[in-house]
Amino acid sequence: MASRLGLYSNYSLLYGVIPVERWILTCKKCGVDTIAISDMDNIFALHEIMEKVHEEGLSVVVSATLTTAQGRIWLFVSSKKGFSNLCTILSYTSEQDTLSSLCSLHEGLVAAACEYSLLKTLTGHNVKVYGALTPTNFEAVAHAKKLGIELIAVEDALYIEKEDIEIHRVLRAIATGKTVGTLGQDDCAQPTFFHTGDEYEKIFSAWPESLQNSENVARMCADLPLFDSLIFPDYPLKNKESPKTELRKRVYTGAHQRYGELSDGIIERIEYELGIIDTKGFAPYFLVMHDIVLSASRSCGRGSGAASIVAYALRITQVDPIAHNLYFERFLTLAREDMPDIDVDFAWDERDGVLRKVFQSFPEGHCARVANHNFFRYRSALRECAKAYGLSDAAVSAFFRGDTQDPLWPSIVQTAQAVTGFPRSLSTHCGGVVITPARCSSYVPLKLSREGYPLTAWEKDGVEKAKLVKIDLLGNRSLAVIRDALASLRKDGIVIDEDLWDPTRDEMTVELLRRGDSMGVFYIESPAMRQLQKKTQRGDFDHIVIHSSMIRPAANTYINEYVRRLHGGTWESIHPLLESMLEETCGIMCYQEDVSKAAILLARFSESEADMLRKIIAKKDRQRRLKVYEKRFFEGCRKNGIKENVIEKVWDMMLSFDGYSFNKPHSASYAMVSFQSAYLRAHHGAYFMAAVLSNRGGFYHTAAYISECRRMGLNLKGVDINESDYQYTASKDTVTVGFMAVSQLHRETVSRIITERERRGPFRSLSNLSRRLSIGSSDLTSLVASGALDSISASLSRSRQLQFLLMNSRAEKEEQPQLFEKPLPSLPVQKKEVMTKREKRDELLGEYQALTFLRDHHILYLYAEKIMSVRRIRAYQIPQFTGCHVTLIGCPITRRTVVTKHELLMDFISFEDETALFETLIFPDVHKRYQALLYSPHPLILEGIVKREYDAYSVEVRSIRKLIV
Amino acid sequence: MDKEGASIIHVNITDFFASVAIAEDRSLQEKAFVIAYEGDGRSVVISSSACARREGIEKGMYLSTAFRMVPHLQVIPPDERASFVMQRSLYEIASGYTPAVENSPGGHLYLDMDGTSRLFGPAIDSAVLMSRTICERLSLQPAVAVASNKLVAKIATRAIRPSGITHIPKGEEKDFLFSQDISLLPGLSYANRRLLRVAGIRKIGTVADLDDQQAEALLGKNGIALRNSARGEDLTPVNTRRFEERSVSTRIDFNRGSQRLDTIEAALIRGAEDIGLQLRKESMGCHALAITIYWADRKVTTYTGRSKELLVWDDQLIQTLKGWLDKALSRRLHVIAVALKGTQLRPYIEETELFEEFSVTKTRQIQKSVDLLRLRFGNHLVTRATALHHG
Repeated sequence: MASRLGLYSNYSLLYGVIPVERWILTCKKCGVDTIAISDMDNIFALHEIMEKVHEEGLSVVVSATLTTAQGRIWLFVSSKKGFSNLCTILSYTSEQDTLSSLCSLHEGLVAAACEYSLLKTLTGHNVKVYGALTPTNFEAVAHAKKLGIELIAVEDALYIEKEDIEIHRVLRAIATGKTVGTLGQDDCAQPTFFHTGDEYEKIFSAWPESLQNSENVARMCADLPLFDSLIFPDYPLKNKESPKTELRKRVYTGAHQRYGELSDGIIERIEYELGIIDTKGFAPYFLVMHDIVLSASRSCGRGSGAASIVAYALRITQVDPIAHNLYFERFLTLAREDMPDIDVDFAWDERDGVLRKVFQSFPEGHCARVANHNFFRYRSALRECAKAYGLSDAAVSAFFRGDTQDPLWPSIVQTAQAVTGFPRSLSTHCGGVVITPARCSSYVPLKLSREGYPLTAWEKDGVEKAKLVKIDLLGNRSLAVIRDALASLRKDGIVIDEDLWDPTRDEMTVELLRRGDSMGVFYIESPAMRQLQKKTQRGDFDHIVIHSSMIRPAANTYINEYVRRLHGGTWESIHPLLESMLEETCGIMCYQEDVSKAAILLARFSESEADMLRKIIAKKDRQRRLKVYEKRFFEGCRKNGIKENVIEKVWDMMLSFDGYSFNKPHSASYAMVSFQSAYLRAHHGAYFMAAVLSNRGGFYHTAAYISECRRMGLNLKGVDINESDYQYTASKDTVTVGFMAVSQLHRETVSRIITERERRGPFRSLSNLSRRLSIGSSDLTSLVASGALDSISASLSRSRQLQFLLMNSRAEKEEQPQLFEKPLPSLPVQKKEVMTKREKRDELLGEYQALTFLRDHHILYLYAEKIMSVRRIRAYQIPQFTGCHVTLIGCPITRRTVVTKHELLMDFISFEDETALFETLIFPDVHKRYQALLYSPHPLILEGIVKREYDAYSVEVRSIRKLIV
Repeated sequence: MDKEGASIIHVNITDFFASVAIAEDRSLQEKAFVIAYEGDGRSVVISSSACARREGIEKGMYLSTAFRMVPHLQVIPPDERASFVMQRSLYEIASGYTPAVENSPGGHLYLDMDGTSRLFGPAIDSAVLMSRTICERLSLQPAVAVASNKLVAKIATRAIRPSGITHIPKGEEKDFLFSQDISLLPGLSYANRRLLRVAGIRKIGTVADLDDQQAEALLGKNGIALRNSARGEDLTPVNTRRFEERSVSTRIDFNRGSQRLDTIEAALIRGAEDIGLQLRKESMGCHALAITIYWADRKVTTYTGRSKELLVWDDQLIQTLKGWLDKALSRRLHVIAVALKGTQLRPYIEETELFEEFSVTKTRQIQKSVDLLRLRFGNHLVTRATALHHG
């Protein structure tokens, strides 16, 4: 056995320079069979080390280096208890310093140090400790003799080759905010290189026992089974019933509420799922999830969990898996070892509260947020390296534009290439949480997130490999939209019974989705999705499920083909074995599970292999591992007698799932939220749009939703001192703009206005408002500019309103209250009817600046005079001009810029005029010519050809002009 | 005084940084360029050329937006040194007309021409002459105004920007200001500008017509002051405080940018020797030292430190400066020059102490001998070995 202890990988953040894989390959080449990578104060790389070491057939010792004021201590884990102690020592929650922690938590740990003071302290606390000899430090020989302890050889290597020193210096410069030239001696490590077998033995030849002890420790600590069972929280019950029984009770109660009388089929499915859940011991996990979703107003369970009737009965998910034929085995099987995946969305404004409640409802220290590991990408590495060499941001930007004159660039590029992929920091995963039966810090080292939550040292894959059960609690804006719309409806006496509410069967909703009238509707409101709806002319639930999954960036070719086939175009199944599986999607792979299923059917992958292939395809850094699977897939298919061109076609289709795809249960969950919001839009448009606007929209900005309200035929009431609430409100077919739309208006002022209005009735006039409330000049300016005071100021122009209020409010403070309203101060009185055109326009401009939209007009109204001289068609007329050259005027609403195969830019921009939205395609040649105009804040004159694809229209732009020159 | 009473000249170089860049490189005249610190996406436009302005690029706009609008936009970092030199040249030209010159940063000068008419004629003549000189000698196109006070002159140059000459005779201020756009009035905050816009007040004259009560009610506690400004009332004198107080300074340029600590330290030692010699030549010492670092991206940062002890000798200066260098090197960037400036100069009187340490006395003796050599044969004949590193 040959071992190396005390190697530092690049997970010693901004310090170590050797990636884990390089250490392993180097050690293997030198005949080392057991390695201990001992990163500084962390074990971030643990799972990567374990995976790669085992791939290469080597053994691993779990290890870390503690940095203390007196020196370094190498720690090697010799038992599960030792691992738990190491996690606690490395956690921020440890109340003592690391040395004191180690003195009290040393069971299962082997320590080694060079400094006398450290060795003395550790021996004094009965820690199993060795005097560490390193290739550059032999002082422990004397200390060990004095203290009567044994010696151990530690490689203590940071570098493999001389070139690594420069990378270390660059990393230190990045970490300390200095340049490579201004680094001090203490900022960098001493050069400590890795030694080959003979060199290594020669160094320690005077103390052969140190080498022997090194081998002994390696043998004792290698390949410990640390993660052998799933870790999820206990669920203690007051009535001392088992979680299993409690779950059964809750599931059947929930199922009765969902289905009414339970059919045999439903009972059979429940029993089947409960059987698997019981066998795997997941009952507490489901009960915890149930409690979490009950703490919020509404939720949307997504991910493969949506295929479970148990989750549906517990209201963790909202889609009936039986009615929609969802495949439970995608979620849970007896054979699968990985964790069931239940992700839950909550209303965006409730999510943080739910997280807080979760942390509060479990004992302190039993919950932690999941981390993200942040890595250097090439551009960030290049920028940071250039700065470390003292180059300016401008020089880096110039380099990106092709100016590479500085002679330093070749070495900077080389260093940046080396640093690319290095980990650099930890951040918080958007929603991942782990809950553990004992303190989290005994399973995983904890750091502290910026928000003050405990943070796991591992990212989601690491957490999964440690068998910690992760739940994702995410925020979703549309759930808040649905919640608010339903609440407003209830207020107006319209109650929708959610237990009986099935929007998927509502004809008006289906028709609305068929037309692609889905602005504001969850997930399917983007221009690309609305165009797909128009092209397919399908608005039923099954098709929305398909479309939600199919609309992925890498699948354009397949989307066009799908539309063609859906409209009756001829097609043949890619292979008879896939015929039934892909029947509902016209032979196109659509869901994640299609990848796994195809691999099983065509190449005879096992279920877990197929699942792994699916996961690898979705990963960004997939290249190396994907090659292995590609080879296996091709070989498997060939053995199955499948033709080469078919294999290639299937493989290409699989790769279109590149980084982004849904499984069917997930897609169905999302489609259900889409249907609920679409139903509200179809039947209660005003309530729905008010809720969309109150929750600050989704894909589009406020002005676009305001225009949509007008197109929907809704009345729009401008913000009004006596009628508006903070949020947008609705009543029948009217949306009233809320005070939240007024920019620079303080929330506290709004609260005072509403309270005063509720206490003493509506404001009757400007002087009445002035007497009742003292409002600051900035807020008064905002209120007046938005038109909020128009209704109480007779026919006064807004400029006069503000003058009156400012002067009146000052006079009020100085004089006694008067019985009658004061006469207006002596500025010229400006009545609305005598306002000049310029003054009216200025008033509207002020309104636009205060609201970002106009209360009674489309924004183009401000350009009316300019527009009059342009001969154009309106957007609603576009279908009448298919194939014709047309001129339109529009304001850009949203854009998607893409890079073509030839590395050229093109844009898909949605424009809007007074009548409708319209989609445009701006091809690279036009884009290049008019790029500057595309970012103009003013409306544009667009000339182009109207194109039709099925029932979707777009304008292929040929030229663009400014409306205002 | 000018017979019409208008004796204040305001010289305003519009978009000073961009104008300086054009003056330095005439080929930029017809190019769309902006002055900005290029870097990450948050950089903003500091100043823009006329050509860039025509494309819709404005001061304060994100550089990334500007690039989208004009993909081939040229970005030039502000050249602090050239701007400083240009500002000094402007000051020198102005000083030829009157000793009462106020030098404001960003290409602004105020001249009080009171009492100069016998030398140069009316102030407007001086303004014309000076404008021509600036144009010829510095290749800058100034906006110049003659008025009875600084405020009116400033509004006048704003009104005629980017260049030209105007004269507001005394007594005509009100008429001139009445129809000017309110945005030209100095001292208006963003909030007040917004308020006046919504209140429909677009002209300075409307504010000028407000009485005290109205002015305070509309514009808050500064309302009366603003109203007075709108009436053209301004009693502030031209501030002729000396541009630079007495100081000693030196600058060491590197042939190529350097980020090596030893090279920068060597430059510091050489600089310390320079200012030390200047101080001792005048029997002075200094209590404050400024280390100015000129970075590769043309930004300039200065660290100023103060010492209770009067700094006279090279070893004192070097020790002090070395201690502050870490703070002065505040950025991760190549350094192209280091400048040192000693201020708060005080006379140094050498007192012989009865029991002065021998080593100190010896060091001082060596220093004096070295000073003699330097004064006779040149500054850098004798220098510390570490300073030679700089080459």
